Amino acid sequence: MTVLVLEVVYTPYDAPNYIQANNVGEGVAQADRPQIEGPYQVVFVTCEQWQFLFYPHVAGSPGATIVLANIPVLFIVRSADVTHGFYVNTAGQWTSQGFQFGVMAVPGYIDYVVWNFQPTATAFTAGESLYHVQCSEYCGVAASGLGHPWMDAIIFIVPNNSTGLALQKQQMNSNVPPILNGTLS
Amino acid sequence: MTEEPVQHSQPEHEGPTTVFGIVKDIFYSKTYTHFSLKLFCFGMIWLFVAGSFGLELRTQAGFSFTGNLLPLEELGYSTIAYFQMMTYHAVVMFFGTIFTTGFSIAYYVVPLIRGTKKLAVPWLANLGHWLVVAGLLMVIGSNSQYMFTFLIPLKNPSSFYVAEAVQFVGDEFLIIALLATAYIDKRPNEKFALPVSFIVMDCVAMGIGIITVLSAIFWTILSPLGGFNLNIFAIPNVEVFRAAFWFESHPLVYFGAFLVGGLTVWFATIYAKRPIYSEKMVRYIIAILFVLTMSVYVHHMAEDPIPIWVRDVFAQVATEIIAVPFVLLWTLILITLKYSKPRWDASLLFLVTAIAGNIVGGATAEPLQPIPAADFTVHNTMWIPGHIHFMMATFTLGTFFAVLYFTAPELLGRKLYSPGLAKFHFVGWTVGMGALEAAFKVQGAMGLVRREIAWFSIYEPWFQMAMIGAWLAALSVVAFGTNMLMTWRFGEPITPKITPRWVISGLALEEQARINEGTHNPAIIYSRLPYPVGLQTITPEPPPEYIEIIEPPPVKAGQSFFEKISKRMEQFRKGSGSSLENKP
Repeated sequence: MTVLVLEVVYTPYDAPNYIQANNVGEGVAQADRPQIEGPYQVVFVTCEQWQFLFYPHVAGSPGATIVLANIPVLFIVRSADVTHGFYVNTAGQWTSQGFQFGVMAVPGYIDYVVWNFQPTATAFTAGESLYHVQCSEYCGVAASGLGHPWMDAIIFIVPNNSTGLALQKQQMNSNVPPILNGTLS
Repeated sequence: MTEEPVQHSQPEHEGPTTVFGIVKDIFYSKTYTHFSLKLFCFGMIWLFVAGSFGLELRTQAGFSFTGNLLPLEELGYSTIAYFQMMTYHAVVMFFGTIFTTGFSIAYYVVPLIRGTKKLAVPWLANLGHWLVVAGLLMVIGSNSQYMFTFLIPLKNPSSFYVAEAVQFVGDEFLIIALLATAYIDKRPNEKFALPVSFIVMDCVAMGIGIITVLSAIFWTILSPLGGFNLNIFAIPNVEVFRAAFWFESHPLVYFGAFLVGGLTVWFATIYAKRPIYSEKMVRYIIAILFVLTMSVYVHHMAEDPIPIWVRDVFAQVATEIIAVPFVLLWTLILITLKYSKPRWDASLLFLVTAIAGNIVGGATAEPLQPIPAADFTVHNTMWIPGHIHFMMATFTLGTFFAVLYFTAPELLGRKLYSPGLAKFHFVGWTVGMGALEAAFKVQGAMGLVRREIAWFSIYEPWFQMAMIGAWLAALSVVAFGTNMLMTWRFGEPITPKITPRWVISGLALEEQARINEGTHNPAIIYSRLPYPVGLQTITPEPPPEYIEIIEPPPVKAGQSFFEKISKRMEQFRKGSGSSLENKP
């Protein structure tokens, strides 16, 4: 069963020239917490022109990370510069919808999105499956022509067993996403 | 057709006779008919400009999925230019084509229906129009990649913010002048007829909406993002700006449709030859739409970090509730048309298809809301361009075309040149834009993010389908423009009337509806024009001449449409003129 929860807290603006008095978000809205019970993985995502930076990430590749299937992943998403979209998807098959979820990355705010990646028969025949991350809010193009359309990243999903754990540990140089346990409220 | 020379102009029409007078009239139109014609011409110019941008986008997307550019580098084409044209396409289509054409219709029908036949504050209206023209030209020349407020703190060139400010001030002037035209010489016992009521409601809603976005733009100009080193304010808060943008944008989305909302009701009654069922309900709908049009905006912030009760409760409820008055309005129109055996010309075809476009476009807005349980994320995918094209192209521009085919010939004093071309326009526009919209929807459902130049190859066939649809729609618009030009130059003159027949019929049928519903009050007037009440305006006489199905005469040599054009071109090249005297 897949569960999607979009939740939010507010944080101080961290952009250059930030003036505290202009942050109307802080103190106005209540902080909503992700509703998770049991173990969950934590991955930090920083969006900036024009790349996604995961922490923790695959050794030498900050735009790729590996998480375990069947344990909810808490993505903590922020933007370092302008508004981006953290959009995770697989391409659809003609008229069928692809797998997709997403959340905005708005400067000055931190977004949470929780997703419990499920193994599918085809995806796990090779022992792992791959999800494509794309920026879904136009964030500009450089003079070279590169920019928003090529701002993407990769999430690998491995099974929650000894093989998957070994693969994750090897690829991420032992710096794997922490697995916390308990209820967030 | 009479053999005597016919005075084509309307009795109150005193047009300029010298070149200087014509130029002066173009810059400063004093009469409502000339001002309306001027706006119509500019609306068509903007349609051509923005449509060209759109065709470029579709052609690029239809020929490449890897981001390889069309071979137009010598024209300065680049990836940046591609995204610039995307912004210009949206801005010029909204604020150029739809606003200007909508204002053209509104400025024509308000004085006409009220019987004042007067432009209230010509200087303000003309100033507003030229500010919009200047603003949009500045937008196109501003070198900006993206829209103005909802993507901050992305930084636009300073000229873009100034251009948007100029353009919105111009739009506000046009709205104020239109409201003044609706209220000038208003008598204490005068009420607005349905088309005027829709226009007044629309102008008030949009006038309020524009204030929020103008505030946002001025705030940006005065901040470090403005580029003038003024730095009076700090970088604006992103979420506040997104809210300001969308608050303004939702009245904007409905602006064009509401301008002609009352006219569509009238034309349905005229085609059906019976009063609307029911006039009282339409007036309730106008009030409800006014409130709801400014509450729907929140659903645009479905994935934003805003309080969850705003996002999930308010947005969801507001968006679903606005469907109610729309459905009621369409139901009333369709009930009125039912079993009436109307004349299915291009105008009515466009009207009915526009209703279908609104229903489909509105229904497909629902998945754009935050529905976690549905596990269906289409926010920021091509689903959104699909939705907006349904609402703007098929619905709003569709109603415009319906109204224009009904009103423009009489405004020009001539019969529509070619009903066949009009039907080709309808088919081309509906099928072309329908193909584009359907392709966008499928791509969105498959997960393709919008505003891209490269994508997986699996999406490419749908872009090819959208490209073919876009070019078909463009071809149909060329047919529309040709038809209007030919009507103006070579259309068969119609007997001049002080007031177009559709105005009298509309007023009479609306009055009959009030009598039927028991809300008729003889002490209240809805127009200064004398009009008989009820079906007697329609039944004794055939429908207006220009919507009759004209049996085409046998085509002689040199009489076909293309032969006529060729002959005119030949005459033009030889300098023998193209005046009416040369008409075969």
